[in-house]
Amino acid sequence: MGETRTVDGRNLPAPEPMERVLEALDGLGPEDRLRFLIHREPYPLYDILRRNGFAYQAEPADDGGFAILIRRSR
Amino acid sequence: MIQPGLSFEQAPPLAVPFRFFLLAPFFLLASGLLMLALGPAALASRWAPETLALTHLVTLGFVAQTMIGAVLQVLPVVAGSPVIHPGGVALTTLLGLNGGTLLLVFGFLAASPPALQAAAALLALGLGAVVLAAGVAMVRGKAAASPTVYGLRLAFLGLAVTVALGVLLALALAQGLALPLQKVVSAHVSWGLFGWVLALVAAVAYQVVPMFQMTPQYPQSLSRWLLPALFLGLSLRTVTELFSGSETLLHLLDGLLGLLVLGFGAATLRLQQQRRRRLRDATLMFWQLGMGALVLAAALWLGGLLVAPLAEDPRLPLLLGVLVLGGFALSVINGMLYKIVPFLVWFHLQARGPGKSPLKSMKDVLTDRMAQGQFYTHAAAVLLLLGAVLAPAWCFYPAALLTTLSAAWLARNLIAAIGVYRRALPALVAGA
Repeated sequence: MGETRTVDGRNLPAPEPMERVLEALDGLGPEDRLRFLIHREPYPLYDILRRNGFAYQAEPADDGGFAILIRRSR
Repeated sequence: MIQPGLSFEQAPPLAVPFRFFLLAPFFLLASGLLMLALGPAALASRWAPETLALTHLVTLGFVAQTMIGAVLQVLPVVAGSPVIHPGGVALTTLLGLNGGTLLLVFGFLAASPPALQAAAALLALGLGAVVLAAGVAMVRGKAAASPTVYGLRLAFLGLAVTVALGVLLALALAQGLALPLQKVVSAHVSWGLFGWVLALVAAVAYQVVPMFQMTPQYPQSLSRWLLPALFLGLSLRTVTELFSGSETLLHLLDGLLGLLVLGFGAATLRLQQQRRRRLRDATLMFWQLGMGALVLAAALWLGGLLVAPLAEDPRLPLLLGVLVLGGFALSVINGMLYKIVPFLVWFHLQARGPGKSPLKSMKDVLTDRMAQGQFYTHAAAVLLLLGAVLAPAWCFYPAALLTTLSAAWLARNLIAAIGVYRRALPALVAGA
């Protein structure tokens, strides 16, 4: 079981949240997971994830934002 | 209501919007050079052919060009339906708009009826193609109705009315048709500036002001009702002016329109005061200048309705034109270009894979220092253009010089941004 890192992109101006999450994904191990907190649903990120072999799951968070759980797809 | 953002799969290739964005500053540059060539006659009267040539270099060559380039980019996502034949539409619009604008400017300056007629045909073709494509995409689209989607529909309706009236005016000038020219011009100008430019800026602002400037959302009462009220006001105004001629009603409607414009500008400035991060970047500075100019224009307009000597001063329409076009439209568009262009470069490189792009941040595409330098040049140009209306002997040539300089600086910044993409791409393609 790998580790789970959290990137908090809430209340940062676009596209800083995406800059941070992409930087974190670059170092993501095969078993690691990344939890990405964001104030609006990040549609452009989904495209990048799909195109580059990541699986993700988006869940609405209590604060009206979203928590996106990302891992490398096998 | 959450809006889908930019989607890579649905987005057109980078070259589609960039052709429009890269051509646009050269029309501004041409407007500065034309001012230098013509001298103060270029801003002597709103009815002078020189002034009309200058205005259309800016409105068609820069304003319509950048706004259409940006809309082609976001339309598939905002409308929820792809544009039919996107490449063909973009090319038709690019050729029609650029060819038509150059011919129109020549037609005004040389008083040439054949040039005006050819310009009307090319502009009708180029702008008609994009209106039609956007219309089809939005009718077919499955996007949930939000103030932005609704605003975009109204903006294209505004563009269609503006183009139809403009073509009518060009043909009337060329063939000597019996038209109430002043009234049709007044309708053409109000639909162009408010039905198209302000409507599109407001529709986009509902999304981008909170997103890029970290402000609270626009109040729902404003984002829901501003543009429908504006369109109702514009329609009633046009019908009243062309067909009924009731001065009292026209005055009331002009007052209503002035208040709506004032409301939008003031609300945006207030949101910008409430932003959660105090950092000021070039885009924010451009938008604050733009909204300040819009508020000032609305106040001056309302003042003209209340104070008769102000209304009769022939310099009032020129001041309003400088404030709305140079102060408002150019500023917000210029500011948005500094978000859109680096973002698209960064995004198209990132989409090839996390960690592969040499750019870590959007700021690596274009530094804010370069953008801010151009901002101060642009702001000084706007101030001097206002001065050029009031004291041409002092301010006209400095205004023309700074307009030229600001346009050249914008072109340089945009070309530098695309250069970053061109240099980074071969390594990415080879490594993929």
